[in-house]
Amino acid sequence: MMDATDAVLIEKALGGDEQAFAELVRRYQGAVCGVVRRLLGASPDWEDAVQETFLRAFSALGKFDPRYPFGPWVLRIATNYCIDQLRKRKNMKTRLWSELGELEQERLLRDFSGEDARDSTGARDVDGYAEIAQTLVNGLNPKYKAAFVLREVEEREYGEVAKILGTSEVTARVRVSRARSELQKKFNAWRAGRGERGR
Amino acid sequence: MDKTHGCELLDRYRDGELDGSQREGFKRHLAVCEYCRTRMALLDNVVSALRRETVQTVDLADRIARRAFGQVAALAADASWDGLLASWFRPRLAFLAFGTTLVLCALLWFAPGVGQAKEYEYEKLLNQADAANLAETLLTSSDTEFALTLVQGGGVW
Repeated sequence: MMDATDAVLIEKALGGDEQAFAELVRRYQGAVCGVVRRLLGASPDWEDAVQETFLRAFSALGKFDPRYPFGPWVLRIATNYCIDQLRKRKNMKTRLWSELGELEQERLLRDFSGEDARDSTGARDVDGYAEIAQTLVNGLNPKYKAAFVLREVEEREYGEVAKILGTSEVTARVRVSRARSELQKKFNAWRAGRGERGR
Repeated sequence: MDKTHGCELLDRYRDGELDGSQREGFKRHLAVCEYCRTRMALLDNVVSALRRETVQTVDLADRIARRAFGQVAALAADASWDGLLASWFRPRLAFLAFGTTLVLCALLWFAPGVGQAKEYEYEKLLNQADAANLAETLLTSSDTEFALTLVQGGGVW
């Protein structure tokens, strides 16, 4: 079972072999977990999202063309599911940002701009960075966010990003570029003290 | 902090798509352009912070496979009832049922003594109706009206 190709596993799964489908999930659950976790952030329902992705993949398995790779196909299902979830919850960014104190916000923003990357002890505030990074990224349009995470964080080629997003390569490039610009704008807005808490 | 000439290469620089001389040119641009420098620092920090987050991979394979095949079994069970129900609406069976009903109705209609009254029975029924009408007239109308009824031949006498 371990040596079987994806196509063989898919065929067996369609024939009713539960273990074949379990093996297929085992092969791609790492990639799906990564995308889902980075798109949904520190959300308690990310595990449900992973399960939902594979259940959707299973129900559509009959339509899958085994001549194409399974990975981008299942990641596309995961990405679409996450984009839908992100559209449903829009207040996430506000809550995360408002949890920080004013001084803490100021310090993190200053550090984030690269002006002063270390605090008085010389150590970086790793948790704080992660939180503000997540806050800024959560503020992006879900489609831009998905493109940004796949390209910048997961370091995938534009061709693969396009396949996962179900778009052309040019569209994928445009979305990544817009995500970069949006991040800059949001960062500048917060830095200027205007904030985007109400958005 | 405004854009200057060279800022448009930032995306391609980040994507590693500039050739040697272009890359060197953009690095020189970075040294003088605060806008691009800040943007690069921000993106680097966001990306490294997101990458630092450990993504915990839980082995869900067996659970997911069990759920998927459990759903298939549940759907199959439902489908047997659906199939039974749908079979009643299949065109061939529906036409057969309709035809049978028509034949049964025709048989009942043309069966002797059903649906067709004999001629003398009609006549008897009409006479009974006339008698009933006259009795009602006697009870409800005045003498003049009654006499008029008799003259017009409304009675059975």
